[in-house]
Amino acid sequence: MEKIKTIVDREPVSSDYIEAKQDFGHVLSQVKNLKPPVWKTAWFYGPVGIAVVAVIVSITTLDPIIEIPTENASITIHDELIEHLNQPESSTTVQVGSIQESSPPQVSYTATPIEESPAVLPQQEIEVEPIETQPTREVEVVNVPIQTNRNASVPAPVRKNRYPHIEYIFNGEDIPFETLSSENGIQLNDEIKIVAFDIHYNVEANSTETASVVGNKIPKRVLDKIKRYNIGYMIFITDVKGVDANGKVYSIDNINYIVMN
Amino acid sequence: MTVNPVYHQTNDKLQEELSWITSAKKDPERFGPLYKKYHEQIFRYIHQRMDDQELAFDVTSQVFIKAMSNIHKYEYRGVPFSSWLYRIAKSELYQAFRDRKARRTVNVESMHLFEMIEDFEEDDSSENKKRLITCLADLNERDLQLIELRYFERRSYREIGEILEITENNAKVRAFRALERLKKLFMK
Repeated sequence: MEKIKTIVDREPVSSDYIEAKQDFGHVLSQVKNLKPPVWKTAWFYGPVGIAVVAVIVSITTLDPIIEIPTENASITIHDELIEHLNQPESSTTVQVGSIQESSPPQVSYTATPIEESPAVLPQQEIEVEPIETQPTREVEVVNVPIQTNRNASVPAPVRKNRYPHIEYIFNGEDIPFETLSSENGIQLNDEIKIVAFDIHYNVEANSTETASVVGNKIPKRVLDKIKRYNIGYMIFITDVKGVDANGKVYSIDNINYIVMN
Repeated sequence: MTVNPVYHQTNDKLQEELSWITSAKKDPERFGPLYKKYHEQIFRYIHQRMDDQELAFDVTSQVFIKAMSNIHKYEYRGVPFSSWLYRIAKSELYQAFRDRKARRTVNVESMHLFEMIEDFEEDDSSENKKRLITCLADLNERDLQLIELRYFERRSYREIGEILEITENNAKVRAFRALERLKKLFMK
């Protein structure tokens, strides 16, 4: 940005001169000549509105409903809850005439261990032992038509806490310095671990510094500066990244704290 | 600290203003009394922050054009209408700076500099004045704005809060911190 210009003791403009410069008529004519933006005009809303309604109607009406024959039907239920909780995916095959659980799936997933050192996080392939299940068993058949109601068969995913915190002090709150330096660092929930974030804080007179941290704890070097320059001031934690057990990376909400003694 | 009588008004005046606003919402030509009342105040606010007088008049006109065309969005919240105009003025001002039509300027009186140096418990020498001017230019925009509003334009914390859309207490804290930062720069 261009350097600010400073003028000392500028000649003041008189009220009479300012009044003489008033021209309400000109302002009024400018307002009357203003054209509304295209997206506020009726012709825009006509076709666009119709198009939007058409798209919504077509999406809702053309949503395919899977019809499955009642005899010898085979239904594969995708367990969204299990997927959500990042457990190995499983599929269950139900056969009319006999209920049979498929052989246990071979599961492998990638886990990203959380480290504090500012290094590239290694990826490990972890082989999980096959899960023991009950052997195939015969059951009495009751011929009931099977309906595919995804909402009914799959329980709603459990909503986990999506707001990061340090020792349950959340965004916008005052945080004691001791809590900020907690060993537990920034936390989210059991599934997602914080692995990286940026922290912005004041240093010296009028400048701020940003530290990019790998891990979930604020490094001691940064804590020292916060203690020295930021008591009573706000610090900002941004670009918070978390990973789940599958190594999927999530962007987490930013956090602001006012640091207290 | 003086109180700006055009800004701080009695309840009757606020109600009168509200009736003008209601009329202006129905008919833009009824905006006249509001224009007349606030034109000078808004012009001075803009002119204080730029060095080109004619451009300041243009930007002022632009503020009123914006205000009139958006008057239907205005909601009375118990504060003077001017706080809304100031917010439009601030936005138009930065638009003018972005378009490179205008240059950000700080207009300051010697008396204000003198008072500030005295506040910092330093000598009122010309060297210190120059140093303070340099420090002002080194402040970030947010701090500079608070210093201008509070120490050069002598506005009340309530008025500053309403212009900056923050609480009166927050305005007080921020202005104090801005002054502290200026002092630190000055003492370096």
